[in-house]
Formats: sequence, C-alpha cells, structure tokens
Amino acid sequence: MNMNKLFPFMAIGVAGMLAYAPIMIARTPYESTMGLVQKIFYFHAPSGLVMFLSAFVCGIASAIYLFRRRPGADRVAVAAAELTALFGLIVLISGPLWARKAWGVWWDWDARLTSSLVLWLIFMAYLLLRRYGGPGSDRLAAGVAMFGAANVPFVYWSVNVWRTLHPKTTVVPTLQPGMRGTFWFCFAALAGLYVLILAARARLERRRAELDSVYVSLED
Amino acid sequence: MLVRARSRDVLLPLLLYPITIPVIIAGVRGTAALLQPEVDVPMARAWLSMLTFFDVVFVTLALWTFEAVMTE
Repeated sequence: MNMNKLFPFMAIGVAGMLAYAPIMIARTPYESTMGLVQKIFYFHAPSGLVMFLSAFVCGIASAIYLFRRRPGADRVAVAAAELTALFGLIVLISGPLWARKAWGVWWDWDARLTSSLVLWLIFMAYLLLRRYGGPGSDRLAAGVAMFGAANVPFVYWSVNVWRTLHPKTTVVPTLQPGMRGTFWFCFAALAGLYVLILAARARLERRRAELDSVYVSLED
Repeated sequence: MLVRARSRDVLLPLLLYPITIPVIIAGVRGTAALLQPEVDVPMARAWLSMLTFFDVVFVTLALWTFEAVMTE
C-alpha cells in the first residue's frame, strides 16, 4: 500500500521535527509576564488543536461508517478516538501544570476547562462502549463519536463567549512573530506524529480483522 | 450472558453523563442568573442561546443518526 512506503520517511521527518522542537522552543523569546512558565504553551496549545482535529476525524470517519458501511472508516474512527483520548490527556495534564504557575490554581471550573473535560469524557465513553458494549456496539459508538465531534465547536468558542481564566482563541493569530513560528512548528510536529500513529493504529486494526476472518474460515 | 447485559446497563450513565452535562449546566446557570436578587439578563441570555444552539445541533444529529444506528 502507498502509506506503507511513505511511512518510514514520514516517521524520520516527524522524529527530526520532534527532536528539533525543544531547541526551537528554547530559542524563542520569553513571554514578558510569565517568563519560562509560558514555554509549556508550545506543547499545550498544539496538543489541544490536535485533540480537536482528532475528534473531527473520529466524527467524520464514524459518519462514513454509519451511512456508507465502510469497515475501513470504522477502523480509522477507533484509532482517532483513542488518539483523542491520548491528546486530551496531554492537554488535561499540561494545562493544570501551567495553570498552577500562571493562575495559582490547578483547576478552575470555567467554560473552557469544563467543556474540554466533557469532550474528553465523551471519547472515554466511546472507548468503553467499544470494549464492553457487546455485539452491535460499533454503530452505537459511531453515533457517540458524532455527538463528540459536534461538541468541538462549543469547546473552541467557549473562551470567546464566557469570561474565562483561559486565554481566548485570538491569542494564536496575535502571537509575536518570534513565537508564532515556534507555535506552528510544534503544531506541525504533533500533527505529523498524530497522522503516523493514526495510520499505524488503523493498520493494526485491519490486520486484526484479517486475522479474525482467517480464524472464522478455519473453523468452517 | 448476564454479565454482558449488566455491563451494558452500566454503560448508559457513562454515555449519558458527558453528553447531557452541558445542558444541565446551562440550565442551572441560566436559571440562577434569572433568580438572583438583581436579575442578570445578559448572562441568562448567553446561557439560553447556548441551550438553543445545543438543542438545534443535537436534535438534528439525533434525528439524522437514529435510523442508521438502530436498524440493521
């Protein structure tokens, strides 16, 4: 398959980017009020964006599975749901670490933090449903994933609608030129990592389905 | 078999909780803004508009996906 040939090159490229990212982050100028603490931003915000991206991928793949009945789309959806949970965990760990230093509290029940947690919980529910739902749970889970993806715009705009401790979405386009490059570099590196893991995980799921069908045909 | 049936029962609240909690929060906070001594109309309106958006999106999605999820 095409992706198989592309995979090693992409892996090398992403590894190089991830190796260079700390150097680039160290070279970016300090933010005036928070200083060194603000550097976690280059990890926290891109992870958040990748989480949103992943939730959308999961929702769209689930819709394709539901309405077109393509098993391939379902495998992508499982992989994307697991990665949404993973990147959500990164966001929910790096966020409080930063908040403790910047705001003085680990957690605040403001609109952004609460809605991010809810989004993460929906995808955890998706994974639990996949594992323990029994037969037919794949289509039920696909429905849940679509509801989860529908939540993403609410999470994204929550900071602009309500007064929150969390900065608004306008922070990213108005970054200083020195910080902007680093931010988008880190986003590209994490997004590349995301695509790699997604492809590998979907491939694993395909192999598992092939193995299952071999077992079934052996028993027959 | 019984174990599976019970595990499905446990899954319902797990699914229902994250999906309904935004509606509950918006309802409670909007009502609180209306019932406090000095009525906070802009706040109540903000929560009400969120409830409306949420309703429109989720009712549309629910009607759209029900058949595909529930039928063979």
